[in-house]
Amino acid sequence: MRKKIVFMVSLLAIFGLVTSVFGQKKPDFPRKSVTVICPWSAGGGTDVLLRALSKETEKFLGQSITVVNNTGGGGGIGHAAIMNANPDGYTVGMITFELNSLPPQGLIPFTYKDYDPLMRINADPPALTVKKDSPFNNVKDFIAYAKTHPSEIAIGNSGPGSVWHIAAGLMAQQTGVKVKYVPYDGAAPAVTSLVGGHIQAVSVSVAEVRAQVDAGNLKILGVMDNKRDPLYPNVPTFKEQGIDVTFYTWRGLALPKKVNPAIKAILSDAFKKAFDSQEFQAFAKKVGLNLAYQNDKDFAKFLETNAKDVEAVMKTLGLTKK
Amino acid sequence: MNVDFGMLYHSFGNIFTLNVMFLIVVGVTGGIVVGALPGLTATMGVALLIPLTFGRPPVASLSMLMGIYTGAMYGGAISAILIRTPGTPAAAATILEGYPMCKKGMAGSAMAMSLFSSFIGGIIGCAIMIFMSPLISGFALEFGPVEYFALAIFGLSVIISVSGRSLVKGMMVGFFGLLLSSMGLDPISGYPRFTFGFSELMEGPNFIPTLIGLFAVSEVIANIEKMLKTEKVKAKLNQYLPSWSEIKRSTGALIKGSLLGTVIGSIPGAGGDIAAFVAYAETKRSSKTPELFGTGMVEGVAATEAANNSCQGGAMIPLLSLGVPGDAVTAVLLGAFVIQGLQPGPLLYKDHMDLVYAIFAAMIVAQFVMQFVGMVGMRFFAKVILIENAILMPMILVLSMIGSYAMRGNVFDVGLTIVFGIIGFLMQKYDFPLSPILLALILGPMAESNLRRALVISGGHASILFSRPIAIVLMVLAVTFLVLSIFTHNKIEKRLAELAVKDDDMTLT
Amino acid sequence: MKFADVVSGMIGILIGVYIMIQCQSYPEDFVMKIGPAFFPEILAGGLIVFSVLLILLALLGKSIGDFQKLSVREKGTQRVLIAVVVMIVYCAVLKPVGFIIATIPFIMIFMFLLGNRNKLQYVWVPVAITLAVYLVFEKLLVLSLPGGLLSSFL
Repeated sequence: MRKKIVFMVSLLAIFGLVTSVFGQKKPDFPRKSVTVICPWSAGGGTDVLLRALSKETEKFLGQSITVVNNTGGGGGIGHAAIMNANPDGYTVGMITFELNSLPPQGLIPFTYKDYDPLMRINADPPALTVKKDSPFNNVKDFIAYAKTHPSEIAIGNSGPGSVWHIAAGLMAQQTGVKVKYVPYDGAAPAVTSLVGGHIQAVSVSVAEVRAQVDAGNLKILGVMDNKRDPLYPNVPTFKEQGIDVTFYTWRGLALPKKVNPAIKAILSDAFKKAFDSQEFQAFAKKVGLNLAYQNDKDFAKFLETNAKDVEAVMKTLGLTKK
Repeated sequence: MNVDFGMLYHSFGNIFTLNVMFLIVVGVTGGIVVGALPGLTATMGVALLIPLTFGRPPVASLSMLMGIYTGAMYGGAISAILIRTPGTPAAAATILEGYPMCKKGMAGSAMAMSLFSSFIGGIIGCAIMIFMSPLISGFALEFGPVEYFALAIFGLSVIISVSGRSLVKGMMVGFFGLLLSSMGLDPISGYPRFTFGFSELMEGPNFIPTLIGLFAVSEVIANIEKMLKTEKVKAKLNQYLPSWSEIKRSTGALIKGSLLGTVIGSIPGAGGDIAAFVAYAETKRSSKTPELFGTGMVEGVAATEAANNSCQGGAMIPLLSLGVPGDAVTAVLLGAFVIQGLQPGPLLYKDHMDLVYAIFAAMIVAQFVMQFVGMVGMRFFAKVILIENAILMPMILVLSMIGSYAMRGNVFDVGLTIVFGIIGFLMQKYDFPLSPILLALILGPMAESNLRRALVISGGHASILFSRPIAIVLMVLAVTFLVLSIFTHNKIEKRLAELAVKDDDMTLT
Repeated sequence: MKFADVVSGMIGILIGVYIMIQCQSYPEDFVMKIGPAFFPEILAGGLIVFSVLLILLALLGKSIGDFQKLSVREKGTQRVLIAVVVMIVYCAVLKPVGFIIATIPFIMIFMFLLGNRNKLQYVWVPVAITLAVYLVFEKLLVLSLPGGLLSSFL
């Protein structure tokens, strides 16, 4: 009896060894449903995007995908959950810009280096937007006025240390002007406040001001991208107006470290196919997402430079931990 | 805007199809359940169902979402009345009168009134939305940081009305609540305050677990302490509509609640919770018998439920006409519109007028469906209070803990619920009112962030606070209300003293 | 004299003082004088003022309202303490053990604490509640609950 067990166990061990060596090419994955962690709450922009992408990915993965919202801590809690997940490939996570802006503030003890990036999904540039009846018609006017009237113009953003706060700070740093940064609880209230005339400008994304621009309440002075926005081809970029800044908020997928590369390949393949699917592309167009795919290597490089840039700007804004 | 009645009439035709009606009924029923479950709010209900709308036509999807929204706003009242658990934050004020009514054996009457007033509030909210959108949305845009600060102060002036007998204790609790609300990242500089090193506290103590802990868990603990056997109250549970005399008594409360709810709902960032507390305080203040409030007054239920349901219509006004969400639910709805390829705002009125009217129609139909489903469901819901305490209490406890967990998928929030359960239990034992904490948690962040935002804009000059007419009006109202409620408070104390003397006489003779 | 009011007042003062001390270490705002410490300091001040008032009123014998004593010797208080401990244990094991396994005994203990002595009910009530909650959250609302030990079976 005992011998039999020993025999069986060793057989299993050998089998396991063999499959793990030869099976590298094609692991039997996934055998159960995959979980995707979303660090932002259900119904928000990130969540809706992730759910749309996951729904398409299910078709290519052959297994269902559950989106779990692990929110709080300004996104830090969800990011930590991704990092600490079991690296068996059954947990994927969405990482967002905040992964690079929380560490300089001393709010999370980990960085992008603690993840194995899978792919970048989108990168949305901020736009400088003012009221329709504002005297400014381009970024140059705006900057010129700000130079002669230091600390007079109030620019709204989506929160202290948020991506759009940093965007405005970057603009001010590059042009050497002094403005007032007014943080709101998200981009929507900032835009509303601008429409009501309580502040002079906002530095949020095109998608977030689109409704009011189309309604004729606001106008965009420039976008911080290296190409014009397809929705507003008449709006020049900052670069075209002589201010060489580009800046993006981004979202992407990442795995905890130490996931088997073969499993990673299966996942990235499935998500890429979903990304390219007609349904997802149509969805992105509807919600005004600036899709910007990058594969794992490019995304990793991007993360590195982005983290450096963000930290540098945050220092000048006084947002880093002293 | 002129209301196109022909089009409105026509859009009802689009709603009264088997498919759309079915989705509305499903939405309302689901909404009521989500609303009644502690921890699951209207916001979450709508958010969870958005993926189901992928690929459905706009009218059908939006109708279903409106159904959930409507149902969930009412659903919160059910658990508030029956088990003292606010299903949604907006129902927290309903506990004040609803639960005492239930304890007195008037659960049926409280349930009937909460449903009826939700219906009336919903209809009035819709009517104002349809006929007065442009007027109100212009008003909403006037709200900048200074106005929001004034609104928060106005909301806080209600604190005395919900303080119970000791004003000093009410104020203490209020300040304690405001301090709780200042936990987490500072809204202007992003500096973490009193987080004790927990990243879970970076956004302050999460509102829903706090709410559930203070009210539901504390009540369970109190029950364990006293081991109350279920008093087999011969409650009338077969009442579907409030009696005529109850409606007559509550007419003022219904109208005031609905108007306050719609207006407050239409201001982006201010929602049903604030409206319900303000409506409650005003009803109590203007009542002929304010001393009876807190013992189960049907007007109180009418005011709070009318206020939080009319908020729906109010919150839709800026969403549809400005593209600016009026509250958390409409913020999620905005996402649903965008997924449908629609951009709410002035252009929606121009390009998709038919859809706007279809939404109007769906909202009105949803109110009727809510009244109907609510009446059918009342029998089942009310059975809850007949369950033996030894089974009901563990059930409430499990629901509370899991409801808190599900919100953010974090065990930390379960711990938070327990902590606030203990705090709530001790506070009640020593006669500290709980409602001021809620008011403070809702309004504290609004007051602080907008005060400081205003000061950033003005470059640090406090004069900006007195430069805006709406803000001045609100602050004057706040002071007036504060003074009036102190008078009312004194009146209540005097009457209670008289009653106590009478009681003593009775016992003597 | 209401002893409880004096104690609550003291707690209020302690909280207020703690916050005042904490606020000293907060940085001044980058833009203006009013920084993260401004609001909490005012609030702590308010809390201290009303706490002192409460104590004074109690000392003058003008306390309002009534309440019962809290004593560890009382049966009720002991039950509360047990309940609190059980809740904390539940919270601690929820994640590793999972919702279903943790909740069934949790409900049983509370049924016992609340004086249920019906043996048959101990068999079906905890299971029924647990499964109902599980199905509603997990299946109907698609919100995931901790799977714990059972996670590979669910």
